[in-house]
Amino acid sequence: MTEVLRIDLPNESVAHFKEIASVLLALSRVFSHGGESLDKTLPMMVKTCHQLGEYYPELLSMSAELENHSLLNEIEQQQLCFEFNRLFIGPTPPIAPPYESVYLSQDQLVMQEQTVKVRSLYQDENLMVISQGKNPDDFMATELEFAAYLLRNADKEAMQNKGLNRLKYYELYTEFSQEHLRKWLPKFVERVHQKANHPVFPMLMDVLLCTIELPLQQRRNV
Amino acid sequence: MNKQLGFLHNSEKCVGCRGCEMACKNLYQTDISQRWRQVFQIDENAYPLPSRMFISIGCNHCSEPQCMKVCPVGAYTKRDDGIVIHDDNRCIGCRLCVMACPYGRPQFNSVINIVQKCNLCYQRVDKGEKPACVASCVAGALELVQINSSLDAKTGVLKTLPGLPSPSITNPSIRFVGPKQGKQVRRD
Amino acid sequence: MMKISRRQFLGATAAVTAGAGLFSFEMLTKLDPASAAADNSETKQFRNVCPRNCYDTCGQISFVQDGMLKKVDGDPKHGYTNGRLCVKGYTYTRRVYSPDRIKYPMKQMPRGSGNWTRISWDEAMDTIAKKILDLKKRYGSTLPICFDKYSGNFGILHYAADGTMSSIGYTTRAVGTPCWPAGIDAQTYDFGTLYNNDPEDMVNTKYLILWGQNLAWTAIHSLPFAQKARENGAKLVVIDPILTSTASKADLYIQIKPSTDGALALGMARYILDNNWVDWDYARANSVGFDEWIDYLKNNVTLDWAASKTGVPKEIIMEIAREYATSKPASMWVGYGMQRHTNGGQNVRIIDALGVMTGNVGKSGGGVNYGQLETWGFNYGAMSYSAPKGSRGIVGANGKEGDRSININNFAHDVMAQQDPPVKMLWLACRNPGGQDPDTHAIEKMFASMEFVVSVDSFFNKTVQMSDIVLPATTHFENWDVNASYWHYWIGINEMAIQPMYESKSDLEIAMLLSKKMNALEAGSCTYPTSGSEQEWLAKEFNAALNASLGISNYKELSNGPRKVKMPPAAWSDGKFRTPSKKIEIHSNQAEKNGLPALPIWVEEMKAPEKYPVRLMTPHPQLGLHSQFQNLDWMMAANPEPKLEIHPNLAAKYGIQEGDKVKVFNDLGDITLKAHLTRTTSENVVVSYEAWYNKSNYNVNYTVKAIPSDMGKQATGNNGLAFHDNFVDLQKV
Repeated sequence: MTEVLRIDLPNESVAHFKEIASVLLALSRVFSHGGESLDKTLPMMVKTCHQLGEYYPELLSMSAELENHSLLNEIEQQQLCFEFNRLFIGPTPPIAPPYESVYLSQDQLVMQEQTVKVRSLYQDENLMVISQGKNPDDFMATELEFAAYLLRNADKEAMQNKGLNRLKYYELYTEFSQEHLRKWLPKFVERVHQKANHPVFPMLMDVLLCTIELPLQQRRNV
Repeated sequence: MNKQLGFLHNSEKCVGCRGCEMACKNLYQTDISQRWRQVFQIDENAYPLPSRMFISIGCNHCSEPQCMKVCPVGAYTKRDDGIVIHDDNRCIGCRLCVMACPYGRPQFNSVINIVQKCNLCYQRVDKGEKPACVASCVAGALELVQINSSLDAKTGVLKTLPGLPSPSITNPSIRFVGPKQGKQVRRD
Repeated sequence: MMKISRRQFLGATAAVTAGAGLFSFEMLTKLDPASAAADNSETKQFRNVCPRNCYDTCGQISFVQDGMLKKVDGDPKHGYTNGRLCVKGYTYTRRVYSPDRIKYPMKQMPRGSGNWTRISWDEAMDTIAKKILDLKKRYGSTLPICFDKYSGNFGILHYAADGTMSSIGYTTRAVGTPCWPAGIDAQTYDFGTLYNNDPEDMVNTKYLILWGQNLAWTAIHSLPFAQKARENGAKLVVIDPILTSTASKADLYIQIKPSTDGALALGMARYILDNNWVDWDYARANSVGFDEWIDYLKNNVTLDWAASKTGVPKEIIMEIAREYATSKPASMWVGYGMQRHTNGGQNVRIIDALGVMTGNVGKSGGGVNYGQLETWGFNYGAMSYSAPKGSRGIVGANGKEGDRSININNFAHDVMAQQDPPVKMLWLACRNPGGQDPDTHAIEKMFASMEFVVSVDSFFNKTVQMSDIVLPATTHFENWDVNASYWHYWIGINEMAIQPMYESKSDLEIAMLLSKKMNALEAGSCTYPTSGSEQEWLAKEFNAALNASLGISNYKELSNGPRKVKMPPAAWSDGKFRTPSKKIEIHSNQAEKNGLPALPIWVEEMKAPEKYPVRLMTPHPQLGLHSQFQNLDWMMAANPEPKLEIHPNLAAKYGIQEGDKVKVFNDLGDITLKAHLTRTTSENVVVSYEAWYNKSNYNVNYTVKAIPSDMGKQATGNNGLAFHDNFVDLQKV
């Protein structure tokens, strides 16, 4: 950890962790369902962004723009899918492989120390990757799902339902975000910004970077 | 200092297979651009006959290490056995050592923004094992030796080879054997 | 050794764990305590074998921690590779965990467009199976389907790819081998098969000739044995048009004119004869036609002729002839490069005869060593499935229907030439014809004419680029296998060290999966089994004879270390040759029947045409194996771009200087690369090593014509390729 912060839970009326979690989850699905399902995952992205946008105007404009570019005919959908695969999947060497360790490990490979670290974070929460050992644990979709899960548990509804220690989950999110998401996603996003041939992807990246920051801004608001 | 560990590279035996280079990378998984150990081909015009001759160099663990001299944060230490160790944790990535070393051995890692180099596998050496490069050398061209006057007194042991900087700068702890050229029947 | 988690379903939804509430997971699931426990940070070791097309076929130990491959090292229990790898072997972590790996089955629409869609294995199998059935229906057979597999992975279970094809019907098969068939036939005509001494026996030689062999680059683990022989007093002679790293270490290097090796051997033979250093007893007792060949030597060969033909001075021919004949035992290692000529097989036959005349065959420390398949005594169960009942094929010489064979070494042309039925679909496994076949333009054209192309690979290469569907292949750390070498006598087990990454599968799994789909669509359309673990399949590759030769009772014992097949150190020491006459056939009727000289006599080499006066040799690279390895980041850092090695005298003629860009061209095509001036090559020979550089279109084969070498048909089905009889002109760019 680079900075020591006073651990305090943000003001409940401005937290909106549930809505933030929904955006992260929708982003997770964009990556887990892949380029072939963007017709379903993008509208979900737009919807969750709208909901969150009620509280954060900057997201509202992003989601409106995203919406404009998500209403595509079949051919455009297909082009979008090809572009998604070129950027993230393959079979050509992907422009921006969606795995943390590719950006942070000395080796720039998958399955490195970052992978082990997030695995142990999942384990602390009694979780594991469904295909552990086959798919790197630090795959974008998995990390975002985990982040969404942590935020959901930090939300006031979760407390009411389960009596969870919200503070703990908020702190876990902060740590996870600072040690992982905020470290590699900017590098990842930069590659997409540089090489993407379709505006949707840079927009998604902007939403991504903006959203992971929101809970941390909350902290500063305290 | 009563000891000085170093390398003896036998250019007569070395075929430039680069196994040492990759064995080092395999063990330390170094940054793509870094080559802590590196195999160089000697200029083919340096000897009477053209041929493919090689030098394999890691850190030379010099008697007078320039890297250590210029480092502003004391990241370098020289152990009693002569191994020059670079402490990654102290390094601030200023790269003065990179400029100071005539052999180009400290190398900047652009991923983690510090300099790194061959530490002679001191953890292995301390356990009585050979450095990875030495252990991997199929040709048996690389040895870990004590650099001393009795080694230098042996016939055929050389202090430098063509293309290397003068050993007077840093007094490197590396010695060479060969290379030797056979007879060539050429058509040019 | 390792518990493999069976959970591999993607997209399963589960609401789990205390804090999960209504949260619906897709990527994460409840921690399985067993897998967490198995996943402690203790380092586990597995035995692997490098399965590449290489003499050394190294024993490896993989180090696995948290289910991740951390390091690969040599297996100290392997008596030939002795715990050390090579420059390529140490890069394996880069290969397995490269973000560039092909991760999922993908479909390209249209082919070559770069428009790729991810598909499920089910959809991939469905598409492929339907295409197969459709072609079968349209043409009445599966002959429009053409299979091309070679050396990307020589693991025995990878023959399952061949099995896939056998089990769907009679298909069109790329038959032969691009690498070494001329030499194989030469030794087949002479001895009955190819069979080299145990390379570890090289230590016993008193004189070693490496004939067109660069072990420093292509068989580094033989070096210690050669060194040991030298320490014991043996002289090392290297004969090669290129002053290789190996040649640079020789006591004597002879820069022979390419393709004239037979003339040199004949000159040596004549001098040996003139001085009566002939082992008459051995030669006459063990061979047929020896005296006939002696007559040929007397009547047709002179030292002056040999000297002018080869560019090797008479005195040198006399020197090595004397030394070779009188140092007992003396050994020759015939490399694969020297037989990649239009007279390559014939040259090997002459060298064989030289070994026979001096009594060096069948002797420890001797031999004319080329390669061997003696240790490959597996059952090949993975490939042995017959066509479904009622399948239609091509009627062969035996009157039975079977596969249609085409020449792997003239692949583009032969695929295009097929009629009745034409070839419509390609299946490529362990093979990259886009990178490795001669005449790349012709390959591109042929691929473009296909209806459907399936490739199985780990990286996006030129062949994948020209495919409709690519299936992600496992690396050898991700599947079980067993491997033998075509040089040393060791056999090792290849354990599954880590789970297959992403959705990659082995050729064996693909075979079973496709069969399942084929039979679901049309019962009985595929005979391949649809179940069995890789280990069960592996067990079936062993038999009593193989086990006995390895001194084991069960294949699992190989997990304790590789084993060496029990054979005498010297090939042919029993004198039981496998030719029709049971003797060494200096006079080979079989060769004659195939339109070749019966005797090992001189056959003229191919001359440079006037228009293209420079020979372009494209030997094997140091940092890659064909199109494997050079694309990896470490290799790209060590060797970022190809170079053209050119002699300063030749460079001067073209006004070329160090670092200049040079266009190398002929009628077929051209490549442009930087010049490196060096006297390690001959004056009229330029050299560029065949390789696939990452994100580069560089490919020497754009200029290489599919000219056949003289032999290969007898033992491998088709003649080889005269890769090194490639002539070009140069132009400074």
